[in-house]
Amino acid sequence: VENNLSISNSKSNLKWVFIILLVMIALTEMLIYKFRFEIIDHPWIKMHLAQQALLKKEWKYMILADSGSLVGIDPRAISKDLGNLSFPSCQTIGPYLLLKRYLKTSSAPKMIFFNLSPEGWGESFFFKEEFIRYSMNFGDFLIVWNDLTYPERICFLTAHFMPSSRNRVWINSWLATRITLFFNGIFSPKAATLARSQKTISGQIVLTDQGFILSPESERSMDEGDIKNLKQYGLDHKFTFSARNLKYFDLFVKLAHEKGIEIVFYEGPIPEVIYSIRESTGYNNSYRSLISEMKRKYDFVIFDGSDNPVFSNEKYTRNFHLNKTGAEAFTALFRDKIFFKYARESKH
Amino acid sequence: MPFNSIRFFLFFLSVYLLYLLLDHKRQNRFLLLASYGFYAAWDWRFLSLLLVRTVVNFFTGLKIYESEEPKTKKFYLLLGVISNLTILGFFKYFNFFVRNVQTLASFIGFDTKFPLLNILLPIGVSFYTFQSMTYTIDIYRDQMKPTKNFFDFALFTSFFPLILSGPIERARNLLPQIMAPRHVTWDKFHEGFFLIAWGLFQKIFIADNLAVIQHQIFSHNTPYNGVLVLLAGYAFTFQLYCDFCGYSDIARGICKFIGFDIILNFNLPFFSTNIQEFWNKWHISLSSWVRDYIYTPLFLSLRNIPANLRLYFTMLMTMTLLGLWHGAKWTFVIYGIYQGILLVIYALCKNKVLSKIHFKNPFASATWFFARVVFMFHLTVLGLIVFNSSSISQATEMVKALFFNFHLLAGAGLNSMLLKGLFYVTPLIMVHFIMFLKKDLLFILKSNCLVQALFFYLIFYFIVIFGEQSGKQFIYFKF
Repeated sequence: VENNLSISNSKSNLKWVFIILLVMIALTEMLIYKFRFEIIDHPWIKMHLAQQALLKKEWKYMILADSGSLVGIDPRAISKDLGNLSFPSCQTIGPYLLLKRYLKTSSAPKMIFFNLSPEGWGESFFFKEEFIRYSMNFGDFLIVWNDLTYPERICFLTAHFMPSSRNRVWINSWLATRITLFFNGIFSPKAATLARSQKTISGQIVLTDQGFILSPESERSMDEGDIKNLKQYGLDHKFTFSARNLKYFDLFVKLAHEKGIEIVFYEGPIPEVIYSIRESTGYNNSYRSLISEMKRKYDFVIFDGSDNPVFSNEKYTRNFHLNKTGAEAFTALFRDKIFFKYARESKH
Repeated sequence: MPFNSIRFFLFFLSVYLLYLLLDHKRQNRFLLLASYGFYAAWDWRFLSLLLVRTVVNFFTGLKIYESEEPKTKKFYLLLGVISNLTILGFFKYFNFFVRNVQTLASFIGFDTKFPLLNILLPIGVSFYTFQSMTYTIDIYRDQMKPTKNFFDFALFTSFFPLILSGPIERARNLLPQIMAPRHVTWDKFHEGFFLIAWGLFQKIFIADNLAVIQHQIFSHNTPYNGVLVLLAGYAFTFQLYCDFCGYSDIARGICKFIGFDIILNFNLPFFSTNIQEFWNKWHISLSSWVRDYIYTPLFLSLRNIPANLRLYFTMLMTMTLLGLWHGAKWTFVIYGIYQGILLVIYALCKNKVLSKIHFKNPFASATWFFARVVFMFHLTVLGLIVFNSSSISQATEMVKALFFNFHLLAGAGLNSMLLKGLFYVTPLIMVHFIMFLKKDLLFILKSNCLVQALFFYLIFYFIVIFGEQSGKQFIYFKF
């Protein structure tokens, strides 16, 4: 069988092949355009979409924190003026960028409730995989790129080609979904499989209109295996904090201060199994030292204690995330001991 | 950095764009640098191995050419060949050899314990060893002259599209292309684009989807069911073909983009009517290598043995070595012996039986042709069931089930697997059938623009919607 190509006009031939191909793909995409949101059913995308909507609303009070508060505080049970704009693995860059974004289109809130779990102060792989991939936009990237690591920059720049990247939402079409999945399928097959497998839990992860998310496993509690894993995690990890996190916390509180926003630094919940281990390993003391130092530095920030509220193990799903019962308990605690206290004492 | 990764896409894009801007000499230096970088991305420690091999082959090649004395020529040839094979043997076969010596020793009553080494197999070692050896052997045979440019030679031994899994290119074909200025034409770009797209389709849509089916059956424990084993055999045969042919097509497509013409590795092997034809169409770069560098010299060296016996012995030996080339496993050896036996049987039947069968009626002739194609295909499937088995006992159980436990099994998910398998394989069979009828592997590129666009459109959506995306490694990487 022959294997020779002799096309005298390959250049023009190829040009027309590409033109027709693009037209065919465009027509296909247009035909199924109206189903785009059914197709974009990745939970992170839905969360991002919901958060975009939250950022466009006017809030008097705002929670900027990480996943512990996203699944742990339901603002609907507290006040209609309170929005939970937390984002998983946001570190301190996240709240800073989200606040900057919010202030561009909305007036400054009176008060921001800020929390970052002790783990969030150190370097985290999940910052790249969650916040950078699903929440950071190009404007954000230009602000912080100098402080991002090389893999983090690459993650942002290639996120366009990743499954369910923010750019699917940004371009806002099925075409983008298909193209990203195509590139993803070829070039990042593991991520594609992950994205596809996560589709099975989509629909459960939906932010409320005030930004609260029930964990997909919110009905379950930790079992013996989870507790054992968490114990081991507690033994294996030392408290660390990064200079970058301190820098962006500084920028965040200064930005809020400039805009006349009061900041309440509250503590997130922690499972009892890990709290006792951290007491014995000195982890908690190291964390308290950091908070004490920040207290001294930022006298305009209200620090509400430096001890996390300890919740029993059965109030958690398999990790640090509260389940339904836990979220109800922490929401009540936050409402009574933090929100009402400081919102009433507010200077505004 | 496999071809189906974003890292490779970015790597190749940057290499290609810069490559187009450079003159010929700088292109070669840049490709060498890129090739070393590409190989180091897998495991930088083996770069030294690659470098040693390059130096040894470069100097032995020069010495063979410069030497006047046949004995000296032979000495340098042996030096080159032995050093290549020693490296290959050590990394690939040392533990296999030790284990088998130990088994043999204990069988005859010696209780010995030889130490096994924790050796990591350098990726692509079997491919680039064979490729490098063509250089010294061809110089010895006066089939080519050595290059005096070390960097060009180093590029030949490390050329990134070929270093991991071939095709095993001959020095006399690749080196002149490295040394002479290359032209990137629209024809080559067009062909390269087709080869890469078709290669990715074969890998992601066909091979990786079929892998799921065959794995379900091969990973099962005994007792096996013959029908399922046959289905697994079909699935693995097409998987292996699409995986390796897909890889070779992508490699050839990349080469076309940068102006190289590389040997065709597969030429519609499933349309073969006999085993000899099959090996002329399957993994052509290896089978032709084995023919030129093992079979022919071995056949010529056994002058004292009667002609027929010499032929059969050489066939058996050559195919056994070809089986062993795939790896240090007895199933590979048995696969090689099986192929050797098929070749011997064919050689015996060819003149006495097969050459006498002719049909004047075109329908009868076509039926005879397809009957032979189907028969040959099933012989291939049988061999590949052994090839893919994890052990001899698994291979035995599976082959036994094929012949003695062949009945439909209710509730085994057979229908679903069969339908899925047909869905994945049908596009391949259709395209191959047209290629075969038109006697042209590139018929699509000679069709009108609309047909070509439709072809690429279908490839695009089949990969996007139905592609198996668990990132399976190319099978031949482990060889």
